[in-house]
Amino acid sequence: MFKFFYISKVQLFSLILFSGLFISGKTNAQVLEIINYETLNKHIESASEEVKVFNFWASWCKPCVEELPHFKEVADKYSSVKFYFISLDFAKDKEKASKILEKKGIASKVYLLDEINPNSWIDKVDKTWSGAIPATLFVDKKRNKTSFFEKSFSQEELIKEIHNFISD
Amino acid sequence: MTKIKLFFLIGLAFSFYSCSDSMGSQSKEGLKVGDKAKDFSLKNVDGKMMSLKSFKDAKGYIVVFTCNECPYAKLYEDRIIALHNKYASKGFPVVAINPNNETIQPGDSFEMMQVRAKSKEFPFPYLRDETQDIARFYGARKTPHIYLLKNNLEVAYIGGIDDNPQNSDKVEERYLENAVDALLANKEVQKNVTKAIGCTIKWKES
Repeated sequence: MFKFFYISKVQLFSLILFSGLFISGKTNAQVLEIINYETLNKHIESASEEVKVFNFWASWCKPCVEELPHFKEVADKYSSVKFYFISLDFAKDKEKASKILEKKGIASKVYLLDEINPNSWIDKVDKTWSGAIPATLFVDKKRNKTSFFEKSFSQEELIKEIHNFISD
Repeated sequence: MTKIKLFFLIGLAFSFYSCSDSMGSQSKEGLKVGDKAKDFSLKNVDGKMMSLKSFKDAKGYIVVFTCNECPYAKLYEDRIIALHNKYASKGFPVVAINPNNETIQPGDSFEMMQVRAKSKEFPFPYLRDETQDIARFYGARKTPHIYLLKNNLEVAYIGGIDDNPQNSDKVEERYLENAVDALLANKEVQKNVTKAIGCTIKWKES
């Protein structure tokens, strides 16, 4: 009767091997680094020859998710500009954010800002920010210059604003 | 001489241009603390038009720009109900306004607002800002976005509700309640502007 449930050692071994592959395949997927504001600020403030673009988004924010591909396209096109993707999802929703980034093919400089109180850091990013997302910060440390946008971008708009920021 | 006049005229035109531009951006900013807000007449989920002056004996108003769909609006729904239950009897009712364009966000249509208000048994009015004029005038940019008004419509506080959107049990500072308590005690509001995360208001495409 229990014959059907009998698993040979070889089968068991291959089963473990297979599930191991499956698990490792999963962990190879997009890994968001969870950071606090202090770390984010280090990324914003660090000396850099390149212009940095920080895009604030979240998996629950439709216009944010819709504009991600524009940022990805532009990031691929302009290697001289460093793009950072800062998820404002709660840390417990890390997987949701990871899956979206994976789907959009965004793999580098992806972070999740884990801060309990938004009022403690929003003004530090930019005084004009109401806290609505999507929002994007341009930083040029060489010229000590920033530009902040509380809006969503089309690809053309993003390219235009980057050009303006660099050449201004 | 004519050249000078021409220069003068061009200069004048430019100064007008830049002046109107800066005025434009100022109105885009909306109300600041200390400014006078304005009353409105908006349709409530019960189908009746409503204004701030409809509230007799109000000492002020907790105007909340909010919506059905935004996760942050949902996180604060029960807290907004609790605020109304705590403060309406003391003279500070909640007046919720949904400014989202329903073409962009169908879940925020008037009918869906009625459904939401019924299922959550909102004890406060939930008004439709169809033209989005009120949200624009106030300078609301996201949901939820709070404007606490005195009964003379002076803005006393702008911003968020408290310091912990994720967990209402772990709130340490109740920004909005502190502001209302200060007004009730005839005191200055200490922290009169705070920042909170929210969903961008879905403006209709021009």
